[in-house]
Amino acid sequence: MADMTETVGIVGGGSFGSALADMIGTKGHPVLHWYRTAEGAERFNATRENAKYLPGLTLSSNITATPDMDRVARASRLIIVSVPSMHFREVARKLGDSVDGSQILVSTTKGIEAHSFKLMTEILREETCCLKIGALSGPNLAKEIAAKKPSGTVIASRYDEVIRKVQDVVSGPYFRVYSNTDVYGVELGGVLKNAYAIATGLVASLKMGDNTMGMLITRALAEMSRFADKMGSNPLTFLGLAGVGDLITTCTSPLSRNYRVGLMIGQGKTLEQAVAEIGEVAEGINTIRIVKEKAAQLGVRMHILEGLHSLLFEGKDLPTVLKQLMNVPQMEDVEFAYRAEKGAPGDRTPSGPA
Amino acid sequence: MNPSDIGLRLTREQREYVRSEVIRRTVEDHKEVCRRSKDLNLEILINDAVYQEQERLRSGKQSADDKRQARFWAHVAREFHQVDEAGRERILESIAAMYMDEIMGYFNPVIHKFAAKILPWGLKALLARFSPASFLKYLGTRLNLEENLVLTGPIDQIRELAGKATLLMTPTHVSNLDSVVIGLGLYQQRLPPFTYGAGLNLFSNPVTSFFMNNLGAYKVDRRKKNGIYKIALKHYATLSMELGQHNLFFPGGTRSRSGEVEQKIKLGLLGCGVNVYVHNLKAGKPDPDIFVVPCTLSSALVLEARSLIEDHLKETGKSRYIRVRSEYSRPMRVLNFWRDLQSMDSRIHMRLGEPLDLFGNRVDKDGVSRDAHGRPVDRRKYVELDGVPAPDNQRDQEYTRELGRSILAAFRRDNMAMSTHAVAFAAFHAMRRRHPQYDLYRALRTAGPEHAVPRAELLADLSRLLERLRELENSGSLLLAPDLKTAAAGEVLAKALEHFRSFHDGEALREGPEGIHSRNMKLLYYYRNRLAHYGLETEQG
Repeated sequence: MADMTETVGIVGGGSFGSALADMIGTKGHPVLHWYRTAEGAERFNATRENAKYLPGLTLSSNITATPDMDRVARASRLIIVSVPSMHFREVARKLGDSVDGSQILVSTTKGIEAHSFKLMTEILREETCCLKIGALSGPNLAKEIAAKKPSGTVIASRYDEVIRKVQDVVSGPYFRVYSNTDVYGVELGGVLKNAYAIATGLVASLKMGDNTMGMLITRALAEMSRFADKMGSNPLTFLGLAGVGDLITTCTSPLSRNYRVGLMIGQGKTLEQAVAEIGEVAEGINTIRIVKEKAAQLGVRMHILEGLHSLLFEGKDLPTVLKQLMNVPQMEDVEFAYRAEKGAPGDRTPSGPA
Repeated sequence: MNPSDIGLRLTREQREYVRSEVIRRTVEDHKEVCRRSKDLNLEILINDAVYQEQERLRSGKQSADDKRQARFWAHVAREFHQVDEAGRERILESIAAMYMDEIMGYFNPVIHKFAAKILPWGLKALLARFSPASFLKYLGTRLNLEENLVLTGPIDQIRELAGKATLLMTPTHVSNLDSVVIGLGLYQQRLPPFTYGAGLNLFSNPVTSFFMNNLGAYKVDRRKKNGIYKIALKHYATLSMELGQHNLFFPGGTRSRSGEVEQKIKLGLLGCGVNVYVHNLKAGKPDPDIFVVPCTLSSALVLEARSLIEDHLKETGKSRYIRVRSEYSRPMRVLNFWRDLQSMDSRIHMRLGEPLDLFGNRVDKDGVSRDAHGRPVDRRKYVELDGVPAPDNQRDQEYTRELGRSILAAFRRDNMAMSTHAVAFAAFHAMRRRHPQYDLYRALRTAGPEHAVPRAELLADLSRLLERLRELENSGSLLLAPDLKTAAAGEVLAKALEHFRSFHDGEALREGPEGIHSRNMKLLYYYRNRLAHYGLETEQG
């Protein structure tokens, strides 16, 4: 049973951080919401509105905005970090100056650090002394959550305490929180789906039909789980909300920035024009670059991702890419089921070169 | 009481306390398991132990002690079905008591001092299964182990911390000689003695047994797989730490069979640390801290290399019965090994890593935990629940996993590449390049001069590898033996060939008219594996 007097810290004043703050504040918890600037915090406290990301919504009166990270850390046992991936390390380090190891830290950011291939919980671990860390990920479009439409998410952590705490604090009448211990898989699901949303945007723009969309999303799921398996995650994680759940939402929703990028490119705009028009970060573009390189290092087949890369960064045209994709070797449909039945070749090879 | 005052010598009362407390906790643990489970009860747990122990005792030749144990288990087997729950509790107590009598060693500080002084002379005899009489005879032929053992790392800091906390030393494990070498290294540097669990095979002859029993070792029988034994062993280590005894155990659980630096860590005994820390905090002890000291051992040659790699290849991925008879039990092999150590100007390098707290943070000389950015960390906060220290098994297991990661990182950083490792690595990959279609097992059968690599080709590969190894050392990812830091590939190759000739009869690698080849690719693979997992494979083709 949640202690409603317990203060919850939210770091990051973007759309998802604000939607979560509102949801938790509405449940009755005092929320200390960290804003990067004193002006931003003061503006929120005066208006109770995040005019930039959730305009027109009056948020819970239990939320207090502050630019003082020490105050957030001192008051909160649970701190949810929700800042764009490009600023994540810098903010995490600042948070690291304030926490003492007793706090639970949860990332909601779906991103990957380009130079290190680190996911956000890994950055939290590196930049703070906290160990009880988790990731919250799933089909969670901020605007729908703020509008209190029913949805679900996944809290992933190795620590039962983190899972219990987040379920107690975050779940509510219109928001369900499921659990998983495969932190890396859950985070990776949130990262990879952005790339495939660009592909489904393209397909939607070309009005190729529902069969095409069904095949594309399913093969995207196969690629994602194959890559995750190679990275040490459980491919079955991708059957859950943080995998297929998030993939379907992002790949079909016009609210998804990445989907819109794909839609615009399919309508004849350049990548630069599409990005400029959306005006916000579309993480999928960076994801394509970073994951393509990693997949090549690991020797993982990711045909759709490679096709997107050749389209966006290598100057190939869409018909050529589509033709290539339709001509890749036809492998087993559900490869992990196949492997379980037949046994993966090389399973018993000892360590070292094989 | 200052932890260092306790040392390894326990009074008769303390020994009796440890014994009875371990028995009590072992019984309580089992009762708790039964309370929590619908499917388990004491009868099932005892039945499992009886079955496993009788199976173990049936296989292989029985010693006198085995016969005594067989009688004990036959008695238990007759009794435990016929008694009530209270009777089964008494049987469980008697099992735990029997195990405790076997496990508990006895530390004698006089013997410890004596042994450490004469070890450089006596190691040869000690290891070569000589009788005590022969041992005395060989005391005169001193082997300069003192000069052949190089201990580096933050030694002053560790010595200081040993006075204000209980230390847990976690070494890499390649050879049965390791515990003896570590014991000597610690003594030479005036570091306190550590108690440790030594395999039963080290107690199998009168001389070794005499020293092991008196150097603070307790017995670990890895053939005993049943839960009662494992829990009693864990409680013994826990009690020992609670009493402030510095403990040593090999976190890999057993010697590295493949030759690789440990890639995985067993969390069982390591996990005792957090339990003890929480216990100490709750008990209000003035020095409640437990610090972990990773220790990485590196040497150009490994006494048991041949049998270890055989074991690895046969049993990959599975735990197995530990072979008692190996090179270790063959006097001539031991003598050759030590002769090589002497004549080749070889060194065993023992690197003590930076001390860690139980959560994987570095600990500075004042005993303050530091995060990755050097900021101080109040480690008590990790184990508090609502401001009070409290155990939480699931949480503490994860903390131990974090600690394990930090220990593995230290092993990797402090692993020292030797000439034999570098040359084996380059040669193994050059030989594999000749048969890219072969899988590992087939490649391991490509021994002989017909698979030789021309000297020039190997030297070119080795030069590239040395360059890469030096980069790794500069980035703090690995250590290089002094002779690898600047030497040309030709010198490194010559040194390695000399090592292999003197101890392995040139089987691992030798030079002939056809070029450089191996007569035992498995042995070459073993030495090559010390440099696995540094991303060097792709560069060598």
